[in-house]
Amino acid sequence: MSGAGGVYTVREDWYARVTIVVAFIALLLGGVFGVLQVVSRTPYWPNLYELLARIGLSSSADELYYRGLTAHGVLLAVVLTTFYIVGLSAYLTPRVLGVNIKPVLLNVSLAMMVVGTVLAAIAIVLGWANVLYTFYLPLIGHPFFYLGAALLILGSWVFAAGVFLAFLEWRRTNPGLGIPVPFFGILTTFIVWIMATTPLVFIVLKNHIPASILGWSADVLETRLFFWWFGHALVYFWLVPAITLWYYYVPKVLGVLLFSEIIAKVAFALFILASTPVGLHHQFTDPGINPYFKYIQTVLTLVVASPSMLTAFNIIATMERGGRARGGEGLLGWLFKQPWRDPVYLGLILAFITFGNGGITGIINASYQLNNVVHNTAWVVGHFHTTVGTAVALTFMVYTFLLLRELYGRELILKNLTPAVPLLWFTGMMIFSIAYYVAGLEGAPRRTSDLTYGGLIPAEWILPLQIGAMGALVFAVGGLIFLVQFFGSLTIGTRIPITQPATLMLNPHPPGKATILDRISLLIIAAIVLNILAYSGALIELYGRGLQPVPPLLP
Amino acid sequence: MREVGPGIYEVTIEARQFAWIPREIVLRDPVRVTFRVYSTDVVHGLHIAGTSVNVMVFPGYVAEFVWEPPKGVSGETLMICHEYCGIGHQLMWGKVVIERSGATLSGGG
Repeated sequence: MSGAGGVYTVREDWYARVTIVVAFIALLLGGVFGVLQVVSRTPYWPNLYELLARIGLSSSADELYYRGLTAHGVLLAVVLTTFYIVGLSAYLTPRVLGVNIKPVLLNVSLAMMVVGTVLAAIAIVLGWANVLYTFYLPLIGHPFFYLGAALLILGSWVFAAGVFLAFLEWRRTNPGLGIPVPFFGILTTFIVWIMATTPLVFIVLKNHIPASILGWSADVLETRLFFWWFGHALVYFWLVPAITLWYYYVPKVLGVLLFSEIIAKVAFALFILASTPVGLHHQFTDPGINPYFKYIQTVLTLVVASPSMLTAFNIIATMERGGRARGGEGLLGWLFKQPWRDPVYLGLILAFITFGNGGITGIINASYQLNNVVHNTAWVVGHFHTTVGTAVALTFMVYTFLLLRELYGRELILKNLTPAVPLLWFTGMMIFSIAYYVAGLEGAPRRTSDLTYGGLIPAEWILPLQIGAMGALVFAVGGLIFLVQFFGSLTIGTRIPITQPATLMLNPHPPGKATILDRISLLIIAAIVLNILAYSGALIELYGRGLQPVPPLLP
Repeated sequence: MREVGPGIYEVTIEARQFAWIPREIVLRDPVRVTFRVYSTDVVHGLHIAGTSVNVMVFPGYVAEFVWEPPKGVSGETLMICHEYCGIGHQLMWGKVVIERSGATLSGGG
């Protein structure tokens, strides 16, 4: 730590610059595959993969579609998110705590994550792992795919260790102080990440890697149980950093205090408690699990919806407080006194509104009976494009407009186009998601390259799928503008000096005393107990009945 | 497939890359249909479009469930695979045909 109110962040900033560039390379490539697939799968629209197959990329347009879909999912849901989140956390942690992350951990983490990503990318691009981003056994891909994924995750663990060590040091030098809200968010992110990825690493080592290298058999239900133990907690790993940015940036721009710091901490605490013991709501339609265990996790899923609602309340109340402080009067006058001309603020609030759309459909997904209508339909695609695809991705994109100045030391190019990024992304995503909800309710499936089914396609699917694809093209244009601005600014943007030591992002609240909410170890122990309670029934049932291993098969 | 009583059906379906066996299921005035669905290779998913029939199908396990088709459901309906099962996934579909006797379909409960 350096002098008063500052800290040298050179190593963290270098790490963040590299990881965030990797994240947006993933956005670029993943976005290209997204456009190709949404056009190709839309009934009576041209099949772009047919053209790519014709020029010799593959013997089959359908094979290319599923290869592209695997790349789209892995690049956007795993590479973009993980690299951006470690980068953002490396940028924020020293600035909020005034404590550095150990450089050796940064270097080791970056090397592992990059090597892992390259390995997995080789397997995907060459078509050796057409297993989609859920990679359910017995479908099997090349060992590079699984080894790469494992390296990427273990590399992020090394970074998480750096965050935890920095926190312990801060706590030693600041005994009795409450954890600053932005850092509480980062801490929550990585606690959730470690709890989420532990079951995944276990099952990949136990089932996928032996199946891929040695051809060993594995039990499908066991694989899915551990996969979804990870899979739903994963979404909170994406979401909590976005929420952290809302909590940090909204009051800062409005010049008021967050409506309630306690509510924010309660929300984060609930995320730590209830993010992981909820995976069975992805397996409502799976055979082999007693409905009673599914029911318990339905209840827990509704519990983990509550911190999102607390967040919605807290952010809107802060907006109202800020709007009134700026002269907004009456019932809704405060809404017109928001700094809407700030594209970062506009983008964060549009992401936040879209999160409302995704939150409501998420609760529908988690409802046992309603899930039966929407499971594995286009509805689900609409849902996660509003959550990770907008609440998270749009937040990350617009916050990067600030990072270009403050982290990369570059002036933003094409500044006048900046508001178009959140506006096009939001508008396109609303059209895409609602159209895909409608198609899904009519039974149109996700993950299918061709929905015409030999001409038997139900008429009700056609129009919503076409409208949805138009919406997708609209938000793709927003994404393209962002990518041009980001990579353009990095190469031709005017350089601006970055001052070191970096200024601390001081907590606007007076440094409060630690409360029970700041006792992180207590929260972690409670979360582990809750996981054991939620999963022991299904695990005893699974292993008590005896596994039913089946051999791996190529897609 | 067998009809164990008037409108009471038991249907067994095998899933494999990339077909349902049988490809076509004909139900006459179905009241209650018990499905047993299993896979002989990878993970599949059975969805009868426009209905609440929606279930994951695994090798090593049997998915068993009961469907009571609403009275308004009749004619040909798509029976698709909704979980990616390999590069021929989009070819995996069949038909459920529901035949109704009697003319008075509308206005009923």
